[in-house]
Amino acid sequence: MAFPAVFQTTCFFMLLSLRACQSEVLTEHLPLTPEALKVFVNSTQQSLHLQWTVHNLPYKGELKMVFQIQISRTETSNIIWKGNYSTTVKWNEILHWSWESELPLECATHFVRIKSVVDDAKVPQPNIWSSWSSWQEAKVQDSFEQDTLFIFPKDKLVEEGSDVTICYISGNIQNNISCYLDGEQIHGEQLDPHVSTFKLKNVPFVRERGTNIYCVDHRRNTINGGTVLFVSKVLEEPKNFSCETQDLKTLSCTWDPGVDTTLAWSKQRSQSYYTLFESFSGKKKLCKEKNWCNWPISQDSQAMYNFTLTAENYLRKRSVNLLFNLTDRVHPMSPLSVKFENISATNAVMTWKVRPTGDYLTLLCEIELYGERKMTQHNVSVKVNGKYLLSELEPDTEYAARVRCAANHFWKWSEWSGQNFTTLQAAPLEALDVWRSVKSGPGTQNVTFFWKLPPKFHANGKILHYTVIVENLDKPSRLEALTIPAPANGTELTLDQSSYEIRVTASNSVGTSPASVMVISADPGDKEVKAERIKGSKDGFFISWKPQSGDFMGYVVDWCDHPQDTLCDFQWKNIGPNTTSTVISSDAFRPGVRYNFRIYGLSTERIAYLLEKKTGYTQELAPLDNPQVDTINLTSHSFTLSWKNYSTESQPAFIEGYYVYLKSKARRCHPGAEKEVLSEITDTTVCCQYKINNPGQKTFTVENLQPESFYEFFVTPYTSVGEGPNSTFTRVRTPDEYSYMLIRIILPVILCIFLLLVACNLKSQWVKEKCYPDIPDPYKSSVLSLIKSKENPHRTIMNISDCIPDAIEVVNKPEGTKTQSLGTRKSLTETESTKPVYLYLLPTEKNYAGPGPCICFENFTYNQAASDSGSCGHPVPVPLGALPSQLGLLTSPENLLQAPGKNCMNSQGEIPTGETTLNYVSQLAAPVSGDKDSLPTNPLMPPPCSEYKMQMAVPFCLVSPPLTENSGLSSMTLLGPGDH
Amino acid sequence: AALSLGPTKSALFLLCCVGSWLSSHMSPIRSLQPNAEKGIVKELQFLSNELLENFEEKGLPTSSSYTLPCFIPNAHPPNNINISAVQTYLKTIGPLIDNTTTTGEIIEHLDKLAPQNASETNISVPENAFEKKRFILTILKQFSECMDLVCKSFNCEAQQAT
Repeated sequence: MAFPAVFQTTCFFMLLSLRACQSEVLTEHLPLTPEALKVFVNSTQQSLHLQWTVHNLPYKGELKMVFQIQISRTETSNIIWKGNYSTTVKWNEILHWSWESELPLECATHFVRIKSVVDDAKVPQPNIWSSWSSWQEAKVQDSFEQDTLFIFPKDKLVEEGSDVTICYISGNIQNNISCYLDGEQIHGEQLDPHVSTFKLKNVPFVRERGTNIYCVDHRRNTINGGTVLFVSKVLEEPKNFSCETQDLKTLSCTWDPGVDTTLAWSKQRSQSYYTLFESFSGKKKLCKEKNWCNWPISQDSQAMYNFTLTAENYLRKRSVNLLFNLTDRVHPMSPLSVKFENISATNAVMTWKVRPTGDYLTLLCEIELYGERKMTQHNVSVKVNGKYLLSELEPDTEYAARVRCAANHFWKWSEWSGQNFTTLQAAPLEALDVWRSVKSGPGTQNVTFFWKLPPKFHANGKILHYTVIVENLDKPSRLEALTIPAPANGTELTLDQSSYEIRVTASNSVGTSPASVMVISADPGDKEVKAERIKGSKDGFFISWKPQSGDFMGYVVDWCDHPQDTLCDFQWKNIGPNTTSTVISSDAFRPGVRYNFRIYGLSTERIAYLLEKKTGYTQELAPLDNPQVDTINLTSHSFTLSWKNYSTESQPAFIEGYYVYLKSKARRCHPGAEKEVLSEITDTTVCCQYKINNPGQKTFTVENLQPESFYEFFVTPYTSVGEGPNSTFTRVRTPDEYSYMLIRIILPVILCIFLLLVACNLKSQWVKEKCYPDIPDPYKSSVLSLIKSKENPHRTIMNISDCIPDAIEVVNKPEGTKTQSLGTRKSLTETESTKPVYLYLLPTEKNYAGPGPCICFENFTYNQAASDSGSCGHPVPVPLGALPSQLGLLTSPENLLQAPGKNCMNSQGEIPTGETTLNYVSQLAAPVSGDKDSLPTNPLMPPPCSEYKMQMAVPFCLVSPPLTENSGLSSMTLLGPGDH
Repeated sequence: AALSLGPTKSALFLLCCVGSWLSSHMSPIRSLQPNAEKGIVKELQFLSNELLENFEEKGLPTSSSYTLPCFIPNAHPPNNINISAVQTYLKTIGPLIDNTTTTGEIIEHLDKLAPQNASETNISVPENAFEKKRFILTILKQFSECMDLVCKSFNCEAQQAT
């Protein structure tokens, strides 16, 4: 027990003595004061660089020390910064430390001092600070000349968003100096009479050529100093740093550098540069480009790579790391020589080559095959050459095949390499989709047979022609085959009233399709089906029909895509037997067009039966135009409007009726009409609206109107979506009531008169006969026939010249005044006009040739009529020896005087002579003109010979040229004084 | 006679040669039509304005310390343009403003007006970025004003109005 106790005590004292010895040594040398302090100014970096040493380190080893530094500005007492700097000081080491000033160092003198303390565990406590070193002055410029002004810092490069302090130093005491940042005045604080500072917070990037700062001395109105603050964008960490190889010889590394920090004219390096450092190999490379760099792969089978990409500019440094296995970063190059072999209608062999990427690599290749309808993908593993059988292809189809490869340890696919090829043709696969349209005529059926061009995948090649075979099912006959060249899609057949089976096939260069069969029945049994209205939408028409009890193999709906065109673009759709509805849609459907659909049931015998009809619009539109209206039956109280020519079928909606708008001054509406306000472009119109609910009614009578009033109207159709456009009113005026009645009376009267006149004209002969019959022709007299038959058949009509008048009685009748009025000359008997004058016709030997005395017949009626009429019937020459009474009655001197000036037609009757002394004076005898000198001067003188003279009428117009003496019987002889 | 004719022939031949050499070198190399000159001046006016507009910065003042010798006094247009001086300045400024395309185009147009070789004199550009900017701005502004004046003398604006 005593030995350990003694040993422990001995050790304790030894350690205690050692410790005491050491403390004694250190205490002997402390405190250690920094010596040889030097201050260097770096204006560009605005930093003070301090350098000092610590002498008399007690050990030649290291010692941890803390240095306290104080920095004053302008004067030593103005301490602006103090801080500690801890470091391990080596024996005889020169220590360095830097301090960056906010204020440009040119603007103020700075002072620095330093003291230290040992902060090492080797040194026993307490540690004592050394004394301060002496102040060291840091001054950039000694003095400034008068009238000079400098702005600092000069062309400083800073990061966007940083705070910057600028200052100016003026050689004069500051007076009237303003400073501007990009034209905007800035305000600062005065540091001393010659120096002012401006603190710019969060400076923005303005332009690549930097922000302009200058000061103006207003006293001298000069710009004395200026500087440019280069504000760069903040350097970003590279993004998406990645390396890969295509050939296992070179690694290609790429990254996104982010924003460009490059500035123009900056003296400091504003642009970023990039370096690659690979830690396993220890190699470093400065990249020429800012977003990619190539790294040569060493041939020492280095599998792992650890890259550090460093982006650096004057202000900042950023780094990113990337660690990878080389085989995981293989990005193969695109395959080569893509080819196709053994191409058939449904198969082809695809071959390609891959670029060598090392013996140990197996590539996975992906094939994409694009047909006309679908794309298929296939994967295959490849070492060097690739080969793949593409099967289940469609005949006569162009395919695009492409291939790309990737390393088995997938990193990235290569680029695609591709080629096109076309499979060979095959016979058409399926029967054509066929339909028909039948129009029955007298004894014939006009069948238009349609088929749809087979889809490419059914045609299996270019269709060259179609074959239509027509077979009469009712009576055995020869099959008719029609070959129709492609690309026809139908044919027209004219068939008789028998049933026919029509078969259609399509043929290409390889073969023929199965036949499509359709039967045209002699009796289609199509009943009259009324079209049902349906409502479509922009997606089409939903069409449904009643399920049929018969044995139908399906249904067909047909319609026209363009019903308004001549070629209506006939369409049809096949629907299965268990379906009774479908949606018909077409890109051709347009709003406002009426589409008609027919639903047929297709029997197992392939006969089509019309089941239903549908009609509708995808969207009904308001009518675009109004009917052309005619006004008929216009009366004083009503008129009728008619628009018979308006077609309701071709309108953009179902016409539900019509509105008749009537406008009048009265502004009152009759029952059945409603008052309506029509808004027009410039005005609103109040009018009466009549509603016609029946679209088939195309006439309308407006009644209860006022006569002689103006009315305006227009007619517009209405539909479920609205009525037709506002139109201009047509004006109509009702006639007055009486004129209407007059028209109703006068027109029939005029008509009757006209008919009467026509009748009279037609019956003129009858009237003439009744009213003023012709003078009987003596030759045609029945008396003659009587005489002839009884007595002498040789007797003829007596010649006038043979007739001797016995006496002439001249009667001065009141008619004489009448005759006088016709002329201006006075009658020869004027003085005795009041007394009857008788001329006695005495038989004379000289003139008498006949057997006995003559009897005169007078026809006064005729004379009077002839005289009154004033017209000239037949100018009759008065024979010589005319009766004075006759002359006096008919040929007054005036008349006779007038007569020569007028022409008269002449037709002389001949008097038959006989044994009897029957004389006849022809009523056709006309007065004969003669010399007035030959007029009888003494009418009372007895005629020398009793003779028959012709009675004559002397109308006013009877003016005939003077007859000659030789005119014989036709001439008129007036009794002269000596001729009686 | 043959002897006496020899020197005469040679003298005549020499005279002819000298005459044609002189005529080829003394006569104007190119004589532009007035319309072509006007077109070039208009183009120069447009380019000078474009150059100035592209360089102008907010709040950057010009300096009276720099002068572009644009005109030659007592000369008639277009010979009154100090083409040589303008070309020299533009050659200096072009790279500084990173727009050698436009400045090169201007130099070519000036060459067409009256070919003169740009003087080899180096123009001292201020080192200080702010002063450098003022120098460039001042020169470009003066060049633009110069071309405006030349254009006025060519009555370019009237043509523009039409």
